Amino acid sequence: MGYPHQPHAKETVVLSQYFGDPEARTYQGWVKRGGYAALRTALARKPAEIVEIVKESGLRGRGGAGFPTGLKWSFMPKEKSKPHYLCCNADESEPGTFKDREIMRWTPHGLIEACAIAQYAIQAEVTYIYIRGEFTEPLAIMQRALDEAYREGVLGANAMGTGKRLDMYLHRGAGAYICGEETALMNSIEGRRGNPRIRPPFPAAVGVFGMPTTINNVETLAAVPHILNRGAAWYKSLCLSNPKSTGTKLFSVCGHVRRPGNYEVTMGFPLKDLLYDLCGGMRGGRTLKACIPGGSSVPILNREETESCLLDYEGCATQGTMLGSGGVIVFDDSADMVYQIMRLARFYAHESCAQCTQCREGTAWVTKILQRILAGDGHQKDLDLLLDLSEQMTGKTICVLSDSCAAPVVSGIRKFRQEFEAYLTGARRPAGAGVAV
Amino acid sequence: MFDVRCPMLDTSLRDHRARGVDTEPFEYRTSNIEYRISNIGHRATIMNTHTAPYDPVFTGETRQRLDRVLERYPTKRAALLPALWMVQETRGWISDAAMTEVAEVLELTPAYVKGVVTFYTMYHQHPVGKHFIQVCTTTPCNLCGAEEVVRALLKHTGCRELGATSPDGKYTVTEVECLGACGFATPIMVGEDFLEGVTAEKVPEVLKRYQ
Ligand SMILES: Cc1cc2nc3c(=O)[nH]c(=O)nc-3n(C[C@H](O)[C@H](O)[C@H](O)COP(=O)(O)O)c2cc1C
Ligand code: SF4
Ligand code: FES
Repeated sequence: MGYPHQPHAKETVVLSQYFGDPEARTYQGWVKRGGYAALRTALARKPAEIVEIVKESGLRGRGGAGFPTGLKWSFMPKEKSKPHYLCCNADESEPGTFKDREIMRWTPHGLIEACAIAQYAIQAEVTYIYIRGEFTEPLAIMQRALDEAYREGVLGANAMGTGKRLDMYLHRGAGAYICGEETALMNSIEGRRGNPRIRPPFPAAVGVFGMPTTINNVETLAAVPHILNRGAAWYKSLCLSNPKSTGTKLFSVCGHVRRPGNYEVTMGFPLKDLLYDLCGGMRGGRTLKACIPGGSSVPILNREETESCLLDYEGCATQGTMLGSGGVIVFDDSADMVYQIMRLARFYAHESCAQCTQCREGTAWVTKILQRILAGDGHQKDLDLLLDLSEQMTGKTICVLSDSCAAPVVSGIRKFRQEFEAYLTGARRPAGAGVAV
Repeated sequence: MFDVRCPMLDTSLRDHRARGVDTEPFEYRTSNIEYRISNIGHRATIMNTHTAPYDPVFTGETRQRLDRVLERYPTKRAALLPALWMVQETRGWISDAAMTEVAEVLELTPAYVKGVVTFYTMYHQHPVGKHFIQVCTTTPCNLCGAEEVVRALLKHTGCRELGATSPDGKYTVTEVECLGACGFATPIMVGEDFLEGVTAEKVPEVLKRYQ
């Protein structure tokens, strides 16, 4: 449901069924709602069978890249010679995205159950749930639920009375967007600076503490118990457009819409309906100007593209963007695109881990050039310079943070060039460059 | 005038004055963002913290808590982030002396610990006001008026600028990047409290709760 709103008829409520229901947060409440049944059936099966079911369901990663989850799990060594680990990525810091927070706040036991199933499927002894440091409330709720799960014998040395050992711990981040990147997250768990690692080796071979590791997003994992309960065929049937995108997806909508919040819809749902029906359209009767459908790291869509975009991996690609994490940022006709793109670039400049020259220098210079344009001191050549810089920042670095900074800049200049030119020609009054100025 | 030490430069303000160094607010840079630190604001909180003998954090109950955390990881190093959180919870910030203690406890070097502390934005390397306020101004919140909230906070706390502590030592206001609650603009953090839907108009009422 579109927490904090009442469910809309066009929503398909699976993961968000108990959002807003405080009783579902407790162990007793969760069991009453059918919780931990999926874990019980999972533990009675062979790990490989669970991997097969998840593969069959078509579930793909909800953290950004959309990689098939069952396939990822199958990369873990079958013969166990070393400890295995599962990391649950709850670092959620991509501007526009706030769905994992709601999953943790309302259905903490759902996430614990999901992690326990995944952990068993990949034969890991320990799960680390990496939660960003600012999420004080989800941290407290998850800790309470974990304590309960240990007390009730769901976790621990004799998990669910099966004699199998399942351990699960929270690891609190300390303020760094980059720690959401999977290899940076592993470094952060190990007590290091959150610098992404060069791949290969991939985490399934050499992950956290040098051991085989799988990293999955909160929402990806949260879907797993539902798949086990209702079957892979059911999950696969949740599809409105392309059969390669299945299941439901939580979309976090923010910006200039009347009812921002989380909405759960079936893959392939029209973005237009999400914005105009579920979210009630633009605030104050204004008109839509632009939309970023998958979190700040993906290319911006203009109005026409937004209104014809279908929300699944392929539908977004058709419009030249990506589904990403499902963070939908909406701009109405009052938005100053140059200023907002500068603000996004500043985000990446602040969050770059500074290992790669293209990223460290590129993000900083892109921000400075955009600030210069906003201050009315831009040159005609600046737009070409920005495009050139963005080109140098794409596909050349250890992780894709650098590419993520370039995406909104390039698409912004391409689609809203007249706004940039208005600053360059002096047709538009110089704007400030933030509160500090 | 007390002889207080400036944590950023690790020399006393009096030394600076004697040498004719300007003790007015000074600037420093971390990554790409410039901050201004007001010496005036820090004076109240810095008193005595540097002259008193170091009082270890990891004794008694806190040490036991750390030992339980260590059991969760195959290496000692992995307990670094949790250990630093414990220091910040007890001391409010992480001094060089505390970093040295953490290094000893976890068998790391002080330089390594400092390298990690400086990577993460939530660890304070100098004392902050009693209420540390962070306002998200990233694009989604920015669209919904986050900068108005920042201006209102600066005005009502008496903080002269971002990163500076108010003259009464009560507040420090900073901007922060996306807090992961973009649909509830504008989220702010006051210490460990996470508040949603703050507007410029609500600021005086919010501040009343944090005196
Ligand atoms: C700069 C950067 C930041 C990322 N931040 C997050 C994040 O906050 N949460 C997340 O789940 N994935 C994030 N990812 C994606 C992860 O690296 C990884 O692909 C994901 O956690 C895998 O899980 P999935 O297969 O379930 O999607 C980020 C990636 C990059 C490059
Ligand atoms: S691209 Fe940027 S964030 Fe990623 S590893 Fe390189 S410097 Fe760090
Ligand atoms: S942009 Fe402000 S919380 Fe995400």
